[in-house]
Amino acid sequence: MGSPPWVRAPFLLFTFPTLLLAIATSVGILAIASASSPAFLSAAGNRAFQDGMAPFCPYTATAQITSYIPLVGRVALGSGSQRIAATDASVQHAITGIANLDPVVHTILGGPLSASKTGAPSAFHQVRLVERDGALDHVQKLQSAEGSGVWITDTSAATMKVKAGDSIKLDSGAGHATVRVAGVYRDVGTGPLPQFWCSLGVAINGYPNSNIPPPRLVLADRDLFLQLGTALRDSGDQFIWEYPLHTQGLTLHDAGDTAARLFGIQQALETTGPQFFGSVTLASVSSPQLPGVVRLANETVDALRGSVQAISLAGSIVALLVLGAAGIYWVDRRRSEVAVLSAKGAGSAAIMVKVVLEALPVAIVAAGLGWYAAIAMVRAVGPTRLLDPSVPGQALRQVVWTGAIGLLLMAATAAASARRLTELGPVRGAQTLSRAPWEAAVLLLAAASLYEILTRGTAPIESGTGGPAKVDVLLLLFPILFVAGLAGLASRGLRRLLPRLRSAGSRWPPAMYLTSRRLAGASRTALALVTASALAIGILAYAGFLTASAKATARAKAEVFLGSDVAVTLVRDQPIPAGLQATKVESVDGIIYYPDQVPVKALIVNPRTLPAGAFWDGSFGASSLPSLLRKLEGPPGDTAPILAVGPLKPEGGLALGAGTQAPVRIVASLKAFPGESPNEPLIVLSQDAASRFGLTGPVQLWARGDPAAITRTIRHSGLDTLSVATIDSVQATSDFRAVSWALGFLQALGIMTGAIALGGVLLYLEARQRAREISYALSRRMGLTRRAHAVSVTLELGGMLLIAWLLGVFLAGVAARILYLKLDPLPDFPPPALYRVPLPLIGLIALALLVVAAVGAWRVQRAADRARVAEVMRLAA
Amino acid sequence: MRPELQNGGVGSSCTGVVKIYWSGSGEVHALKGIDAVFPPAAITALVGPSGSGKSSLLRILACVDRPTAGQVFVGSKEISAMSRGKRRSVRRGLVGYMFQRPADNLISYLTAAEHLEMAAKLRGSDRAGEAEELLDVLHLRSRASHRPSQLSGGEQQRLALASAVIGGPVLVVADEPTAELDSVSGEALMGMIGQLRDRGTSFAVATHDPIVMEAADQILHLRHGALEAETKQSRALSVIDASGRIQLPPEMLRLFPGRRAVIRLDEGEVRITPP
Repeated sequence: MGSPPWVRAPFLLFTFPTLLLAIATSVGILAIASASSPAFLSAAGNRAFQDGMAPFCPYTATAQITSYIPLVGRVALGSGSQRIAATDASVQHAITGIANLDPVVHTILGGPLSASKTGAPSAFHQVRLVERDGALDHVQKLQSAEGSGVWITDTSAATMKVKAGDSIKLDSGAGHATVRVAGVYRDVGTGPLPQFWCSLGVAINGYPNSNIPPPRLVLADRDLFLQLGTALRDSGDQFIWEYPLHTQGLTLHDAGDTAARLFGIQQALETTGPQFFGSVTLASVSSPQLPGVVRLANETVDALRGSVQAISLAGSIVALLVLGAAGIYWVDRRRSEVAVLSAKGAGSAAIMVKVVLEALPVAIVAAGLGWYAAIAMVRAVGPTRLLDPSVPGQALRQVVWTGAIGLLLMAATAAASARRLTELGPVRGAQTLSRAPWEAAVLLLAAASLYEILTRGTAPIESGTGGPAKVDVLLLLFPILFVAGLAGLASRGLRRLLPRLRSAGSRWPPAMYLTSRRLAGASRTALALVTASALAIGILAYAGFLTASAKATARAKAEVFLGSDVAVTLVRDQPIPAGLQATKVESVDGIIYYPDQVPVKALIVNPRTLPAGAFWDGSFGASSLPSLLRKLEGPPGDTAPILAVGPLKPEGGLALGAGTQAPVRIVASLKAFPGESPNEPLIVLSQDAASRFGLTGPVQLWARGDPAAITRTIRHSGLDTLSVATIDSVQATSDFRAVSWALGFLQALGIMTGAIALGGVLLYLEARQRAREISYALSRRMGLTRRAHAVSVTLELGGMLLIAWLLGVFLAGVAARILYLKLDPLPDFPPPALYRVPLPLIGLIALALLVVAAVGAWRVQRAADRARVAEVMRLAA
Repeated sequence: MRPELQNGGVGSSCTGVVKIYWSGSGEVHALKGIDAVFPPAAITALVGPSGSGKSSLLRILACVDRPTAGQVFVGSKEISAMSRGKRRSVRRGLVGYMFQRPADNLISYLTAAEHLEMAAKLRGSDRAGEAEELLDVLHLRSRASHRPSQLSGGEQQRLALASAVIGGPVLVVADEPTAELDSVSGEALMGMIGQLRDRGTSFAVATHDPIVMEAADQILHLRHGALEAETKQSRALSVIDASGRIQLPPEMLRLFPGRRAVIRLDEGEVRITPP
């Protein structure tokens, strides 16, 4: 191997550009397939974590440490300042070493005080002193006066008839103080609470069900607070240390480290905190939300891991197969060189070494580019741009070892192909093997997968208790096996049927005649490429079918759960804002239905406006929604007509309390109704009937349309709302997230295999180019026009790709139809899974194939035009 | 007087060689019991119509294929039952091969000198100056740094010859080496083969070319997979195989339309007459 063909090997591939391209593409795609898995899982975990943290107040998500420290009184450790300093030191020590926390935000909350304008009679206006780091930077200042003092809310200023520059008197009962008003700020409790103040939500807005407004906050700096607190003889101020989580760029892994360390804070406070007596309490830390969020995000990653790794493995296997084929292609392009080396006694090992040496430089570059592309792609189109710092290294390791396997495989197939080329004659066993119906074995595996899916106790989408849904790997494996097996069988069938084209078309135009003859003589390689293309299209289309169906199902279930696209819970009954396609409903939970004695949910509706604002699907009932609602109207009788969802007796009553019942009769039983809750029967009655019974409940406004636009309209309308829920927020639960991400990854596999298959088509054209040039030259001598040849090539290539497209899409649709009902994370909740055809995706695939056919045909025609006829004729001879 | 033989004077031989191929349409009996000797320092031409088994016999001699039955010696190595790896080893060390098309014998990116360097290394030959010597003998010295595309057809085939003989193989197998050459180049090539033969190299050449047959020391005539006749020193001899069968030339076969004959021994002569 010290001789020139091996010494020169690393530079030789550049003289065979097509071979170089084939190897580079295969290695690149192998690198993408293997590197994308750890990157995607990391991105998914980080996104799940970021989404999980979003609803929580960052100031309470980690460590909120609280201690009650009186500023006056006879307690140990000296003055109030000394007590504060000692506690502060203990807290700082307890936090030491915990990473990913923002600098501490101190807050001191004083007790309730009476406040009034100096010199004016007491207005019994309740306030409380607050010191919070950076407070004045997070309020809207309305008035200010030169000099120091406190800042009061506009609410307080209006109540006390005070303005900036005035003085107010504060009275704690145990002491009093007069202080200057340095400014007036807009009360943060009058609108949505800004994030800076989220940890003081109870202090600002009070408890959720309380009608008593809490004392308004009076802001002071620390020195003034301590001074006033001492004067007011405050018996116990709440000192709060908050360490917000630094979420920007925070990965799930790092968040997990932080979460684990949070549990040590309380113990550290207990062991290092100063010992107090009396009314001073040891600093304690509230239960952080971070560990729960981290746990749930890790569960999402676990739910996703199996699917993603399976898909990545499938993509890697496809790329490895192509690399193996590249080894055969290597021999095909270098036939005479291989024959010479073999004739001179170069064995399989020598050929393998030569192939590896030739491919290594290209493979290293392609693998590097593939690794980079995988990470860039996940950042660009994955769940989030944020990846763990360890991911590039982890991905690179996977790329290296899969690349090594790929190179060895390519070298081995090249050596085997070289041996077959030079040493072996036709062998009966080999012929039998090549005729063996591999499709039967693949379809058997597909059938086994399907049987397993259909008979398993758990659904292919497993929803653990409170955990994210997990996609069964078989759900992803089945379509690959199904499409591959049937596409292979179809290709075999084509191989038998296509030769019949020879007897047809004798009167066809030359282009079509040529095309029919070429297709009739289609080689095994050509039909293998049809199979491969059909498989790639099938995988992509299957993922598209399932994604479209899953999205439609998720949306429909969310709409049934909510009742509409947007559901707004109102503080009280208010008119529907103009411009909204909406209705108002009231719901009463847990009302007992007789004689079944079951708790039901009662939905009180306006039959005239409900169709405009509620979600409806024809599968819910035998009639349309308006005709069903008409049955609820009519002259009042002894019993009220109701619609029912669930197994309830036709005539019964609603328990109204104090032993009274409202008699009702079911006028229509439905499979589902908007607003129903899982596992709870629902009855629907009209507002008239409900008002006769005195039945009322919280008012909800249901609106149809774009959730963002509806939310904006409601915000600007001034409606008093308790909550606003949209179908987007319902769908963005972890249950659907893992499913949609897994299907997205499967679509990526489909695109990758599609690229490989189409690349294979172009390489096949390249390999057949010499034969085409000969036939083109001879055909031109017989009078075939250039245009006719170009059309013929386009039709031939387009025909092959059309067959692949039809096969792939049809088989994918069938596979999805078989399994779509299983892709339902909430099978007990209506409506049942919906089946949707992803027309845009199918159209896009067709367009891509059209482009490939046009480009391929153009390349073939251009090469044929450029060939020198004399040389071609010599080759033909 | 011939110069000292490089390989010690060991030739090659076949005894009862049979080769059967299996194809989609059934068995093909390519060789039906060939007995032949390929003497050292001699040119043996294999002639016969297409399908007579010339290429099959060459492939077996070149250790690329294995006989279905029979014995084959290449030098002192009995190759019939050898594994693929061992045959490759014999091929590397003891056999040189020349394909019909000149370009098929050469690697496009190597110069003439590099071809000989590669061939010598693969053969494990480290005799200093052998490559230069061969380039001189074959009139290729001035083309040492040229690639195959820069050589004429004749020069390419001479280079292939040099590459095949470097390192002193026991046998050089050539499949119609003059088929794609003009008569002048063909004669020149055979002249050089003759020179190398005189230096001790043994050649087995499949051919239809009268120039080659003229230069050969013996000619083996194959027909329908069997050895029909042997020509040595201008004397044509029919071959009697181990089973006592003899092939009649086509012009004599016509005398026996019924494929039956009377054989008599008459005064020491065997007479074959139609019944």
